[in-house]
Amino acid sequence: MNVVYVDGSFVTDNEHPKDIDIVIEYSDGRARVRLSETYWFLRQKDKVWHRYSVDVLSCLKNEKPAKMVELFQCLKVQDALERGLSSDARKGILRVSLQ
Amino acid sequence: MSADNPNRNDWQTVLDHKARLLYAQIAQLQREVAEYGGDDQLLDEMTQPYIELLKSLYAEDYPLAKAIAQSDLLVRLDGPAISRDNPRVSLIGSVFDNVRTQVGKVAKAIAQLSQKGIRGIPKEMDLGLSAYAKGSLILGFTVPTASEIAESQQGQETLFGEQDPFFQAARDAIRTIGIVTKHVTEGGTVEELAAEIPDPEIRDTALAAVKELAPSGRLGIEKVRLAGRGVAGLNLEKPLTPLIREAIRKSVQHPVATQAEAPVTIVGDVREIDLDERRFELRHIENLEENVVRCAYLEQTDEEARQWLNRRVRVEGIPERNAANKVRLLEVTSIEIVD
Repeated sequence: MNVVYVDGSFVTDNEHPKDIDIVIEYSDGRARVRLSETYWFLRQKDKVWHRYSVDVLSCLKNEKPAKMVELFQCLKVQDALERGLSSDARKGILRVSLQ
Repeated sequence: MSADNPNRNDWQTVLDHKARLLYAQIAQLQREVAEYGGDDQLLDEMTQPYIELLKSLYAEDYPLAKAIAQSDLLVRLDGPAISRDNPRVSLIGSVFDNVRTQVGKVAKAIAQLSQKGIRGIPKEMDLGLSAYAKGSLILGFTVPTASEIAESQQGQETLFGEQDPFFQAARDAIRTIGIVTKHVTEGGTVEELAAEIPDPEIRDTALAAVKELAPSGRLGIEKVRLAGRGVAGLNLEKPLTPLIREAIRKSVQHPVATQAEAPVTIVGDVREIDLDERRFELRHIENLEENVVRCAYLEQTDEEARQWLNRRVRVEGIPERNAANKVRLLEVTSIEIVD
């Protein structure tokens, strides 16, 4: 089972959201699939962006460090400043399980 | 602390952790591409998104984190005048002057509390500009260190070094401005603020300072936010806006927190009238232990007020006292020149 994490301004309180960032987390033993699918996404990057406003990243579930999701949960400094939040604040992102 | 479990109390640590995650992703992709026989072009394309994230981290986040870490007070401005790559130098200059002036006024009120006879913060202890970030206008200010002052004065240290009361007053002023900002942006009452800042003169001066730091809306600035190590832990989530400025303007017209005190009459010399804030300082006061009382007037015109300067006057009004039961603030009901 793969998991997709959804981030970007569409999952914030931004009144004028621009983009969706997704991280596809591949389960164990699917490194080759991850590589080929991610490559396909990157080749279609402009088309996918133009049509869906989506940026795609990927990671393997048990890779070290298996913390790509943390990257998106940490706020950008500018965003934290805008909201008066400290460096230890983390934002919620959506987690979608794909059967 | 480890890479997997960083202490997130400062931005530098958080950003280092994010950078390590990105480098690890790039290394992982290098291994995978090599394992499955991919070439350099494939590797470049696969790692490009992570490289872009790293670039953004180093170009935007790290400079801002440094500004936050090094600034006692960080002022961020938003609005049409700022939403451009190159804001006007005059705008930056006026913000810079305003912040220095307001912090100086509050510092002076605090210093007067601890040391009689202090007239103001010395010039060499003015705030310094520590950071500027493009995009939104972010200005960082620092209170200079004793060694920085010694450098600017050819090696002459201040008498008390870092323990000099002026340093402490400047730092306390920034903290006090942060406390007042939190209070006014969250809609607190005058009584609540009086509980946090019991000294009436410091409270009134700080309220006036925050009013002046809040945007008027006329210069294309709509929001002002405060951050930095001097206000750390206050969680200043809401910005200062023109509406808040107007609310403070109305509230400081009657600055005495409790109107229950009986009116008093005091005689002293008028010094330092602020016509905009409608305040003056009364010094050399007859029959009172305190040396300075801040007075607020409402009814009198600027022309009348100008005539009081450097004259001896008799003032009647409603007082507010500090914890030591000394009059620190007076809401003037009548005033006459007696010399």
